[in-house]
Amino acid sequence: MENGNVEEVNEIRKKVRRTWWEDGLEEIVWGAVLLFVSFGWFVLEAKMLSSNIYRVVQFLWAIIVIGCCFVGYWIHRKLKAKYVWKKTGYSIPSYNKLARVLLVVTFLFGGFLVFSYFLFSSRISVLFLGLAVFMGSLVTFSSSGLKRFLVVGFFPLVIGIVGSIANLSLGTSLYLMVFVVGVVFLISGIRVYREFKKKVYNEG
Amino acid sequence: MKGENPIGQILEIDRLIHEPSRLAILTILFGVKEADFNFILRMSGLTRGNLSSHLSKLEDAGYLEVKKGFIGKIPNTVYRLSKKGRKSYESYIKKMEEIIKKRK
Repeated sequence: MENGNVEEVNEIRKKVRRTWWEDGLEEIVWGAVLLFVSFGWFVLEAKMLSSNIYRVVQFLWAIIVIGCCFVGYWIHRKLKAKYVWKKTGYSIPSYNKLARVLLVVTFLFGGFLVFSYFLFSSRISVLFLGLAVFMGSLVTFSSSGLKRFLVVGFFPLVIGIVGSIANLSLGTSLYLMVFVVGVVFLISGIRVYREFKKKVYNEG
Repeated sequence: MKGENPIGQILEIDRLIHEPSRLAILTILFGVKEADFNFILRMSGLTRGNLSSHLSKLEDAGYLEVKKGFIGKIPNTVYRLSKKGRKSYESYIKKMEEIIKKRK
């Protein structure tokens, strides 16, 4: 029995977790969802809609965002079935540990935000927001071992720091973070998908 | 007692899991909610016949749940760890780590 056995087991686990992100489709879909949400936000903030529609959309905004997440999830599964699983085999990642960690991160995020918003200035909230999103990217990096998720998290961290210094509102900072992460996800996802397609479809 | 004796601990290891190919299969399935034959084949690098044989053994031991369904219109057989399989795997890994720690 060698030390290598347990290390090899950990390596296999990491390799298996990484497969979920190897095609880039998750980033493409969620990048598109984030851009759609940020566009909708922009339209709301700029009050481009007539006042009645604006009031309805504003009221339903949270439901619309959650709806977009479900649609994104459904589209992602369909694309996986059509372009990926035929070549790589079908799998659904286990979210047990990751889900628990993300839940803790979300509660920390909510706690920091509420705490900082009421007790400190919005500058601190903006900084915590950037830090929280960066923490989320750290979680995804630690789970997948893929450095590109660190890069994605870097942008909201910078926006958080700059927004805090420039005294941007929480709403504006959040909108910028959603937009930038959406763009980065989309670009990264397309690049990864192209490499994946070359590798998997050329292998035959 | 067998459990305190290092040799005894080694002898108590689950031999079904200890086989390298089956350990690899269970490790792959531990990292996913479920996966089909082709995914496990790709990840493990085993041959089709070899993989099929090991999956049957694990299924017979109650370590795997097998579900036949469809992805789109294509029939697909999907595997996942049963509660017994998950518990046995975690126990095996814990035992191995203890044995290796004691060896140091």
